[in-house]
Amino acid sequence: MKTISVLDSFSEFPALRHCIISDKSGEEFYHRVLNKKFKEAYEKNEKLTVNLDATAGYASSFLDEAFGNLVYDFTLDVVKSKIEIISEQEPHWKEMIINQTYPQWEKRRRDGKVPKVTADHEPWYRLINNELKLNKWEEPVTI
Amino acid sequence: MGGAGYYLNLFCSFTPADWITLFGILVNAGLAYWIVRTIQNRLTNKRVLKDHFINEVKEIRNEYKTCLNNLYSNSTHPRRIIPWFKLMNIKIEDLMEIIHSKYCIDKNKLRPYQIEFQELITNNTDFITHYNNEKVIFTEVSRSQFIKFQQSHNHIFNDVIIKINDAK
Repeated sequence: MKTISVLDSFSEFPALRHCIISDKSGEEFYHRVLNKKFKEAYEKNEKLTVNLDATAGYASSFLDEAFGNLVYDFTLDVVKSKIEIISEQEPHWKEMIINQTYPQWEKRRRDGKVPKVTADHEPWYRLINNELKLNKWEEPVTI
Repeated sequence: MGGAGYYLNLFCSFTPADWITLFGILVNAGLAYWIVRTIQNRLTNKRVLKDHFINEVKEIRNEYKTCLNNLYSNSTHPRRIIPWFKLMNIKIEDLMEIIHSKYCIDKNKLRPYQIEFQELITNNTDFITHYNNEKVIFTEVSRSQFIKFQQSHNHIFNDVIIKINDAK
């Protein structure tokens, strides 16, 4: 099992949803850290534990964007089976991600409503027919 | 001889049965005193603890009031509010966990302030627009949303206080 923490792998001060709004956004965390770490865990058939504790706090939009994109790129079933979230300081974030973010973004994935990308990111991984593909899946848009 | 002599004569005239009765009376009196003291202490302790928790709830309510006043007066620093929400969430989480275990009060009772209020602010368009600024200027539309939230959730602090007070 591989463990990452937002504090160590990203920032003590996670901010809002999109890169265009703030530094240290959920979008940035997903593209810089979570997508790659999850892909590694998926390839090794391991579980990835994401520790949300010890940062200065979260806006719900940060977490929704980061974990929602994960569901969009890897599907709900794969994410659910391969990820463990630790949020002991604010347990309601874990509940929100599991009960709201996951189903909403799975619906979005099924409906083909692509996630908004607001900065130029390196190519990122997506699971297509059970195969990992690396691509720049979306071009940045302004909101 | 006086009074002392009277009592000496009285004790000297006691039969063993009288002594046993006297001993019984003294033991019962001591026991009664101990029981009353213990119950009184327990009741006092319970009251002190309840008052403490009620004060904690009042303090949390006041902190939210201050936060809302700052929002209305446009003196909120957008980057400082997320750490403040976390601090409040941890305080509420700790307090409600204890209150739940001591008085069986629903530990999610203050959730609207932990989740809905935080989402109301951090997902607010004015907040997002001014996130990189020193202060957030809220429009009338935003202010009326905050007032609506306050109107519909103001009672929950009093609900918790009443439940603590009425708990056995």
